[in-house]
Amino acid sequence: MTAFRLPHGGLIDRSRPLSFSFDGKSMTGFAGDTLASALLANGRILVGRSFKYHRPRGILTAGSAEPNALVTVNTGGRTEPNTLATMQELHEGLRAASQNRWPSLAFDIGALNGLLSPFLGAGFYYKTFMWPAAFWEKLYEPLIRRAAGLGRASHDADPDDYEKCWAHCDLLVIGAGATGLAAALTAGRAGARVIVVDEHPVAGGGLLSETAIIGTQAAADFAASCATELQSMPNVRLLTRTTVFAWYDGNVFGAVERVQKHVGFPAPNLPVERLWRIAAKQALLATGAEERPLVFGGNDIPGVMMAGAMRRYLNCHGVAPGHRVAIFTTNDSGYGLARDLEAAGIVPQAIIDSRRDAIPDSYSGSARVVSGAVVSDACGRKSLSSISVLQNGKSEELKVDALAMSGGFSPVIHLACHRGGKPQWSDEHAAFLAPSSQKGLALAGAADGTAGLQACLEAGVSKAAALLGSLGFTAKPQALGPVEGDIAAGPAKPLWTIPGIREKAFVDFQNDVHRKDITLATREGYGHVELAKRYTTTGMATDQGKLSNVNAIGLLAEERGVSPADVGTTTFRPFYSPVSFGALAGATHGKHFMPARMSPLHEWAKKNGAEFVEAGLWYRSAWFARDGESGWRESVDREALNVRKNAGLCDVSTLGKIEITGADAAEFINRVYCNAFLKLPVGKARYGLMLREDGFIFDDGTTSRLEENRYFMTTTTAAAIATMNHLEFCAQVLWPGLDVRLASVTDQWAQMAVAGPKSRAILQQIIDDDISNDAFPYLAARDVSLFGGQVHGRLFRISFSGELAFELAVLADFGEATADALMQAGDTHGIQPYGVEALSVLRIEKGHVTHSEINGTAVPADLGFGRMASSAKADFIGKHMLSRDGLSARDRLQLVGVMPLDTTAYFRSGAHILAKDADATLENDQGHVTSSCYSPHTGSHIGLALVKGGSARHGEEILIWNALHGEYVPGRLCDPVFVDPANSRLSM
Amino acid sequence: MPEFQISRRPALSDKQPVTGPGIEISTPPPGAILHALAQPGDAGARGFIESALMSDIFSIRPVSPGQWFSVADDPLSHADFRNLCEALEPRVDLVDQSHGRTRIIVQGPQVEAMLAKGTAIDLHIDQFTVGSAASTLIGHVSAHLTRTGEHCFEILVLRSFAENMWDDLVRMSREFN
Repeated sequence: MTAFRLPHGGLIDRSRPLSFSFDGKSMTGFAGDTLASALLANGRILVGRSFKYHRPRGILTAGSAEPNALVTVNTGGRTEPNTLATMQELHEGLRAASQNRWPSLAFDIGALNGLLSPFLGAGFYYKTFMWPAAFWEKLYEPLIRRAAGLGRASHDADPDDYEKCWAHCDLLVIGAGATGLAAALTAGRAGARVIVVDEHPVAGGGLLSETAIIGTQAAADFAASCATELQSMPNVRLLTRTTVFAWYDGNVFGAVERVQKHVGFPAPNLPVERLWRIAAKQALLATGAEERPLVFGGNDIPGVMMAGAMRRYLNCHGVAPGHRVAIFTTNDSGYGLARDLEAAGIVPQAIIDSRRDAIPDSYSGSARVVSGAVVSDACGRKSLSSISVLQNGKSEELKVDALAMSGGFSPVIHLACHRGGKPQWSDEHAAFLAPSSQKGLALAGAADGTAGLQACLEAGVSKAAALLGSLGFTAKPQALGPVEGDIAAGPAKPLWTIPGIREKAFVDFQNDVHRKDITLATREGYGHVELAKRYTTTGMATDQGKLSNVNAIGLLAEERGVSPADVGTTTFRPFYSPVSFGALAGATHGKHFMPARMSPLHEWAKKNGAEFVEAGLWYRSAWFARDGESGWRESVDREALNVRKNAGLCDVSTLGKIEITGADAAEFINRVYCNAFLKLPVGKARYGLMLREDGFIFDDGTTSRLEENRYFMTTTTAAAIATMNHLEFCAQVLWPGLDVRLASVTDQWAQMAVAGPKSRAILQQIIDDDISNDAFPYLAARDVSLFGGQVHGRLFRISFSGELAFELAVLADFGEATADALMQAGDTHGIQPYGVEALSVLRIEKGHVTHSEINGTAVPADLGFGRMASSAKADFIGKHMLSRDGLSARDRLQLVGVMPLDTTAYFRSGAHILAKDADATLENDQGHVTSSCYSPHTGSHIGLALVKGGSARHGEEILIWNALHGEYVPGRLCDPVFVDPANSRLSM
Repeated sequence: MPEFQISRRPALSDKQPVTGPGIEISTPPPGAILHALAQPGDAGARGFIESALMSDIFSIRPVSPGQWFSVADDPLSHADFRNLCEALEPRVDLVDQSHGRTRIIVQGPQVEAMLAKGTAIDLHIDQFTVGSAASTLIGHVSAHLTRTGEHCFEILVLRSFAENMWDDLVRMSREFN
């Protein structure tokens, strides 16, 4: 005998049958079923195996607290392990499979663990697998993981889309049961912006299981009317299939909406899940209460179910739990179930009530009531066969195939404790309640310890009205009801320890923690609630102890002889229930993983054959391959040689560019650079070095004075944003009295380096102004006219390559056309595009530094810029800290050139510098290579290095040691300028 | 070398407008975007800018204390820009951002729902009225968002991020078209 579908009743649509499979077996359900209700309707009560002992497990609940019925749904990239059968809506073609069993659910080899259970109690890992230590990682842990586990994730890519979204409201109502619907209606009718969230597909909560009458409507019809009215209000958003999983600072709530988890073929224009961040002025927690299991022997045998869940399957899904049903209760909840079972033609075999003389007046059924009694044990293997009822010291066995249990109710207050509030034990409510008076969040209904439909409806109305009042709305509370036929389950004395137990009595079903584990933890000194959790694993894994925590606390309290108030709870943190990585990632994968930043010359580079490299978010041209070239090195060598021989064009648009204006702009710039800028003439550029407050170099670049009070600063690509932020900080915080105005213009200008002995001749063809050496000398900088006045640009006579060179900036939209024109004009001069690889070769040959050398540990003197830090200036950022003794020590790492003794030898950046005859150990480390390349102009690999006392060691033989690659290259330290040390080529 | 005929290539020149019942996404022809920066603490700067820039040509978008974007549909010549600078300096400095920022127009009955996928700003018409503007993240990228109509918004985004922003907006709009 087992569960079955009733011939009528429930909220399912019997006109829409749905086919599905479980462990390969085809079954049928109806629209409106969950996978759990459909399995029960098909008589399938064994749905899983437990985590540790592989015990047969059935469906315990009808919601998100389910610890047992975890299944894997779908296949391939859509595989979803650990799906709760109680939350998964049935759809046509759904494929579900049980987990943690081999070879089959019915015959599971892992169940042998049960025979070993005396050795597998709490803490057995720590006691058993201590030695030999090396075995833990390689043997013990893999074995344990294989034997005990949940579902397995797929390695296939998820084909579906996810997204994130923001929402804002005056009042967020979490939970659309009786309380939540009453609150939402009150707020919606008052004109407030309301968001109502419920984790189930249909609003109604407990009303959908209820047979009471509200006003003139059945409870489920009342819920549907409320939902319809809410959906008709433009100021109300009703989000079903949505779980609020966290309460964050700023009264922002995280929620995940399962947009298309209930369909077989997701629509491609919709995400399957959407993560909401809801900013609420006020929030009302109407999350109801979770029914408590009772800790008796065999309470995990399939067929034992929560009373409320049984009522849900009966009234909502038209599924009877069995033919011979018993109810074990500590409160009036069991009587509502008994009444509904009788209405469906199933008279319970018995109602076992732990109280004496406590039959509610509202129950007039014919079931036998056994008062002052407990169920001490349930019997059966893969399904329930009987129970032992203990009354007044006498045990009676009842043959049953289903047992409902209700140990009272725990308000669902998880969210209310995410921001530091601790649950408070209430003897009056026999439950933990949320801390009171938390700003922005209130609780109402069963979540606040209120019992009964009428009281919940009233609480929803009054709490919403009060919250709206605090927001300036005038709500007119309207009574909802009256309610008839409700059996309100008020607080009852908890029943933690049940006498006469012979079998394992489970506290945490998901983690296989039973009562003796709690006893053991206390006995061994782990009685503190946080220690007991770690020692026994109670309250861990996917359900995070939604059902088990309170029983564990109650048992710990009894073991220690204290109140649950003294035991307290573990800390509640997000997430309330598991959230998929897909929802957390949202759309940020694949193409949208991170933004791609495109230079205005990107298309120009592409059509000239550029290979791109990601530099931060930028895509920069690395080199421009030509037919017949064997590899990147050949391309780079060609580009570098051509720059020094003819001319090259390089896209430097990615450099940071900042326009600085205002009457105090000169003074401002003079303070942020360590070298002098106050007297920079209009029309001139200057190299500048910016320090941090601690004296170390922050960034470098050039700054040009275009007008008396207008400057154009360039920064490195890498530090563009940091430099802008630094300047804003200086302007707004350090020197608010200065009239200085900052605008980032990085994107306004397409900037091209035109370098090489023929660069002037090429540029002069497109620039209207005279740019001869006399008219436009080294470090000149000014606005120029191009193409007969068609375009205006800015020209700078600066050089990173050491050649005669210019940087030309034109308005970004004209960048591609200008570069095309330069290539055309330079064709007869041999111009070629060059990328950042060749740019790097050219600058290393000249000993120019980048952030490879400006690595946060270098002061100006380390890089040969000691004289730039002006002692004549009254102050600049970094001046005072720069004078510390340690920063001028002789053995500091200093910039030096490095070459191999054998010019055919090769070494890499990052290699260590050792004294010539020193052993290759890190103790002998004297510095490292910061930049390296093959220099086609010297015919050798060359490098820049930071070496102890390096500036005084030119000519010294050393060893270049790369331990990672096992490379030992004899070399020599040298001047860091390898080409044209006199800089004669700059002034051609 | 005047034989070169130089043409503009705006960042989104190869993008086709998105049209649909819920959302339309388009980029207007290149116009003028001027970044106006006032002397620190100048409370009357906005009025000064509005009086100097013709209100039928430029509309003003607040950016931050003392800073505004002045947006016009038609481009501004270099000479006209210089003239405006001279008219406003030294009280207000102008920096041309016409090429550095790309304008994208998003509109339609579902535009607020679409933008909620990218920005944390409450775009309810009562909270973010016509004319309101804010700098905000839209997805990964910072942008300047202005409400120009009941269901119409202008996005000013850095040119280098324009293509990424466009693709992201198209993704966000799929549900509504």
